[in-house]
Amino acid sequence: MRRSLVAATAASALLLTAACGGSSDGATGSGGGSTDDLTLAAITPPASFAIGEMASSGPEDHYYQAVYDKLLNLDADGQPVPNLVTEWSYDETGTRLSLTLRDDVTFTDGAAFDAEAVKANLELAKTKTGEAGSALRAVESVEVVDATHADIVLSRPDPSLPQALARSTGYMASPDALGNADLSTNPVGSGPYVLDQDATTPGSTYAYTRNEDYWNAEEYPYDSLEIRFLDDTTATLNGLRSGEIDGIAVSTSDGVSGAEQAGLDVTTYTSGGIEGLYLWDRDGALVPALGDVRVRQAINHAMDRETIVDVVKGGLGQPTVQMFGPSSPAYDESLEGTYEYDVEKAEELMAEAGYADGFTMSMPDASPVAPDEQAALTEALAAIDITVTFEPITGDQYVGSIIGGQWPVNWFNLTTGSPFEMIGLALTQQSPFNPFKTADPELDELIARAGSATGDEQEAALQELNAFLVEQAWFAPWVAGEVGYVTGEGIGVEPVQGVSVPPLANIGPSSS
Amino acid sequence: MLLFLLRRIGAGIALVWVAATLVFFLTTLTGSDPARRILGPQAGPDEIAAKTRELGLDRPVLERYWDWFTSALRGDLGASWFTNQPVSRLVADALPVSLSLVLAAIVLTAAVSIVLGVVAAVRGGWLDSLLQGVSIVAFAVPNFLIGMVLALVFAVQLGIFPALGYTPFGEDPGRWLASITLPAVALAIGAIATVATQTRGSMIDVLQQDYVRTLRSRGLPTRSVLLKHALRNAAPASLTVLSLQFIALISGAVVIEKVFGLNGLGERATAAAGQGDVPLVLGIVVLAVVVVVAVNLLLDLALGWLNPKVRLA
Amino acid sequence: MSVLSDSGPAGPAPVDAVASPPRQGAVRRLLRSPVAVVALVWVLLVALLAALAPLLTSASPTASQITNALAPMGGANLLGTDGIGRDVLAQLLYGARTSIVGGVIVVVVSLALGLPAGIVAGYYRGRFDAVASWIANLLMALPAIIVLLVVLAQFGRSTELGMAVFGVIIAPGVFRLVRASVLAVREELFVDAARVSGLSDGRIMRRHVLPVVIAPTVIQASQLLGIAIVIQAGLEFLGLGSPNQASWGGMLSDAFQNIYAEPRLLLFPGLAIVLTVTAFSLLGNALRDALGVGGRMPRVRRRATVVAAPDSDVPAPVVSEPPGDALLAVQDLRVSYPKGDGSVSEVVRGVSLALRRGEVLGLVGESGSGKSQTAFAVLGLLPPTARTSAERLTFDGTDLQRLSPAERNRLRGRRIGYIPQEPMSNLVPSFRIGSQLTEPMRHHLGLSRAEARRRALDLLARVGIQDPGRVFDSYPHEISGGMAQRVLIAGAVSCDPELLIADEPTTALDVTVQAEVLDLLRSLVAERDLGVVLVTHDFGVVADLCDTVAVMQEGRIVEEAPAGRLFDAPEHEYTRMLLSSTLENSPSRQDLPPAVPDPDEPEPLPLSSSGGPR
Repeated sequence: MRRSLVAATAASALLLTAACGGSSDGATGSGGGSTDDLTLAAITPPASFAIGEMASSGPEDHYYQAVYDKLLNLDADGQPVPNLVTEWSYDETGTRLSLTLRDDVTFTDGAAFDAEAVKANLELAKTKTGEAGSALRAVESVEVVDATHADIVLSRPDPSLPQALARSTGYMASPDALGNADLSTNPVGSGPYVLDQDATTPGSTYAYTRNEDYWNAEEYPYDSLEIRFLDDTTATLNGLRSGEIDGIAVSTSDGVSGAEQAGLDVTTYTSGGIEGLYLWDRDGALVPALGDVRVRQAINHAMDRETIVDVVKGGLGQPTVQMFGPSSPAYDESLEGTYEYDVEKAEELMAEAGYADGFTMSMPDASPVAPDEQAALTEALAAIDITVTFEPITGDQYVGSIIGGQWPVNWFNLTTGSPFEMIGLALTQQSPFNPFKTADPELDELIARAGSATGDEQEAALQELNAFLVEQAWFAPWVAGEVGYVTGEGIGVEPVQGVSVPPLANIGPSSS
Repeated sequence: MLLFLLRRIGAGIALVWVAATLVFFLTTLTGSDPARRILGPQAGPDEIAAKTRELGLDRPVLERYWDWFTSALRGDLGASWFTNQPVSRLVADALPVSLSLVLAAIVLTAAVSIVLGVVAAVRGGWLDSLLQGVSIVAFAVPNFLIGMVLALVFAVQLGIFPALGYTPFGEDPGRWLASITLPAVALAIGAIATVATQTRGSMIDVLQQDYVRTLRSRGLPTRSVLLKHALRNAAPASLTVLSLQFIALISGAVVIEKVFGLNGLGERATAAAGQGDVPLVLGIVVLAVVVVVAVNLLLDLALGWLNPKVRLA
Repeated sequence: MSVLSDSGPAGPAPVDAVASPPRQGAVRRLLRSPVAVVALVWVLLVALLAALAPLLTSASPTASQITNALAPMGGANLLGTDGIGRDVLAQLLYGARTSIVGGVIVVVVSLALGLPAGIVAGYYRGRFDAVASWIANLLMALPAIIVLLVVLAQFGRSTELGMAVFGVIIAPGVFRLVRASVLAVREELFVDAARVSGLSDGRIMRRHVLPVVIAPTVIQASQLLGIAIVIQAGLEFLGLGSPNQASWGGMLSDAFQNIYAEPRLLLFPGLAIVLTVTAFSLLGNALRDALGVGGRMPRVRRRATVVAAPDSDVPAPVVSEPPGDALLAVQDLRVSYPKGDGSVSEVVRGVSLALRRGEVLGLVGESGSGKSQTAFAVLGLLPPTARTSAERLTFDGTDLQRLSPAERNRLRGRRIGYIPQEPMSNLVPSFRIGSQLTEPMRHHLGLSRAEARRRALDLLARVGIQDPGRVFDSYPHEISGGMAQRVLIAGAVSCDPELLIADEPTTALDVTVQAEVLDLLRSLVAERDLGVVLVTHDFGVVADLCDTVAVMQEGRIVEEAPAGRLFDAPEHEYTRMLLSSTLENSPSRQDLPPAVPDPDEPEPLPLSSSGGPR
């Protein structure tokens, strides 16, 4: 160590003379508190700026938020609030969503934002394979009523649509630019910033300058914005410490603790992800034992959720037995007592079901990505004599093999933005994450009711559905995940629950 | 001479082709599912199928290979599967970062190694022992560890250099130099250890040659004997090691780029290989091998100039 | 302090034919080096700790206890815990396993590929050699990291796989080394002889080829182990190592995450890597020395030629007070070298000489008699470790011993010329003849480029070169040995020196060329009134050229006489012995066979063709 330091010092001294010319301003970066510029980091580069191709809302969302305005925004609890759309309502059948639009917005190429633009964007996005394509699957057409009114016509009720319009599905690009071949790298939107192509190095640094005509400029205090792709935690920490970086999202407990130890501010919030054992084979197709609800309940009882969250997740997240996070309307606090950690109770249930001696099942080996999680679940299942054999699998085949119905049970983490998204992904016969097409008339009825109802009635239906899932033990979740956003000196952030990265507008000079 | 150049360039092209072919088939060996990786867990089966068709992955491997090969011949390396950007653009954007880094490191290595190697060979004694000792230890320290310590000391603590990021030369030459100084030093230290040791060794060999004594018997100034005659004769061995180090530095740069958050070819290669972005991986392989071939060609020309016995034919 | 110091035996030591020393004793030689012992102990210690890891710690290297993260040193966790509560000591011990296993994989894979391929390619040459060399070149041009990235992305993260692939990538290094060693031995006579005598290839391989290959391979294996550990750490840092396996690189990577909270976490894996890799490097170097392969001659090796023989054995040298008009006067010159054990070996032991202008003094003796050392002492070109003393050492009245190195350098080339022995090795291979001739003239005489060129062409013509222009523009390898010697003579006299020191100027030449060169020397001496000290073992040359002859044995002058008298009536027994052996073996390139003449030797034959006594 000392030797290397000495050698390093000597070698740098050699370069120091050469570099002193421009070195002093190199490290200053954007200091705290200033509203001149904001430099954020993201752990992935943007996949594409083209409508319908933008990757699922995640770490790369900032790149898009800067140039594209969204139809709706999310409040601190993750509920849709007005943005480009000022009012929205479903008709009584839940198959027509009427939108009222702002009339004072133009795109940076001069095109007006109007109902035609909404139609063009949504109908294009629907044909693509990105996140928006999935979210718009129920959309039949978009009807232009007048310049400031558009109706989205649905083939079936889809109560999750407003949520989607507040996420990447709601991004609006100029209708004149939609046909551009280079839209994927040269976005034309109406957002708070404009991508500065000259100062941008694709795949590395994305520079934005203020859109002077933006209607809601006061929400964005910085004159310029830079987003850097940085995938090394330690390098990012160094950058935050030296003031070259103002903020980055971290999703692991290691990352959060590392940032805290580095003396940086970390704001944590729920990510919308539910992690745990997903009990797919409720019909007992591969492992007959799992067809017995008592076995599934036993598995739930065998899990020491508090300890798992403490030890495995580093305290990052809330222990839960529900598939809907604490900020979700479907969440019901009172359900948390359903499965106390009780191995005796679990063994009783196993014995009642005729599996006093346990059984064996195979699971995909998740240890490359989640070693500690896998150790915890192995231990929990071993306590009730369920033996697991882990089959090796590569990372990119993990999800496909789940959907293909290869595993009765596996460790998984599903992230959704709304209860309806969860329903669509995991609870219906068409859902990809219902690989054995498990069906239950009671559940289907609850799903239908939640879909058609509104307001409190809808919330009640969702909670009832949630209670059904918990009691029937369709899953054995253990934690509603949390993530963090790290900010440098003088920068504050207000997170949105259930969204992995806080909106750009919520990052600003800290008041303290 | 011309014939020599043509033959070497021909061999270089063959090398690029073999390397790219090797990597192409390597990436198709395992049954990975790029469409699933691109679209993420939420995508449905028909979307996956559509993407697979869009990427042309439903066609036989040999057909895909032929397509890639023929378009590559026309200079079209395709587009990244993940970001849809042309590979040539992605590679061209990242190249200046890596090239700045590697070139700065190699220049630093050459300059420092020659000074240290010559001084150690000529002075001998404790200075020589020190150099040899430090070389062995410097070689043993992983470059990312050096990089991290440099970043902590000179960027985070002292704030003399930036801790991360790259400033293009065209934007601000001063900041460009500042942005690559720490990474280049971190990269060069191991190489310096190797090349300085080699230079010392070949200098000592040369200084033992009869002609050095004869030169001294002619009363030539020491500087001329050492720096003109001896160094020139010691240079081929050092240059050869230096060119090998260049290839090693390309590998080292991948690690160093990560430490300093530089989005160069290494960063891109790591990401592309991890995601299975085959067109981008192939593009990077082609570029890297082209660079290596070019360096080797330059080396041969330099050796031919330094040592008249080597006929370039 | 000489600038050219410590550059090994720069003196005129004949190249020791260091035959590969017997391998038995290599281990003992290795263990004599304290550095090697320390390195070896460290490596063995690491290997032992790695093997015994489960016995040394009950903690698991991978089990994390979040609640016990970043625990300080001491207590249950001797070296504390890391950022997610894993025991640092356990990680260090199990990490040693990963490192050693990884290193061994690299060595095994690269040797498995490189060794047989290198032997076959080097021994049989032909098509296999061409193909294997091409593949080796291909592998060497591939940036290793990209191949590793692709393979590991395809087949999953694994340290072992990564190291195996790296073994393949590095195999060309082994291949080239082995191939070169085999090629060298293949060319040697004994293999040819062995072939002729009908030995099978297998036996030749076993008896002659393998022994030559083993030493360099062992050295390289030691160095590969070190390289492998560094590369492995890099892979683990990039996150490409085996998941759930403790490793030093992985520890470093984790330590980076906690660099602000617990910088000490860097220390242990950092030290482990640096010390282990250093140990492997040192071990490799020590092995090289012990096995005596590929290396330069050890620095301390000097010609410990003459170790003090009792004075009484040697008759008193014939010494007379040098005359006042002497060009060169040497009295009681002594040259000695310190030896490794602290004692001193004296190679020139009280030599006295005197030389006038126009006089040629032959300095005759066997190899190792100190005659060349005497010449180099006069020139001031002894290696820096040499200790020189003389009661008197004057050139044209100037006391050479009182001159500064720079002043002495000004004399050399300008007033004292030097003709070396081996023409080809005394011209700088990478510069044209012309520039080598003109540089001293421009330096000493301040000539312009054109003047120097004209003078050099004249000189070349003067020394009998037919086409001076062509030779002027040639590189040394483009001319013959005889021409090269003429060039060197031209160089020696280019600045009109008064004294010429010629060290066996004709030994390396063909007999006919010898005669021509001697003629040239004789005419130059006459023409320029030169004083010449002619170092030789060849009485033919002496007879041809010298006025006076001094015979040296074991660092002393045993007899000095005018040439004619010496040939007619040699006084000293040693002189007679030399004379008789010269006459019997016509001049050869080799130095005289040392030691006592064979009593059964036949009568002297008539003088050889190089001329008789005058």
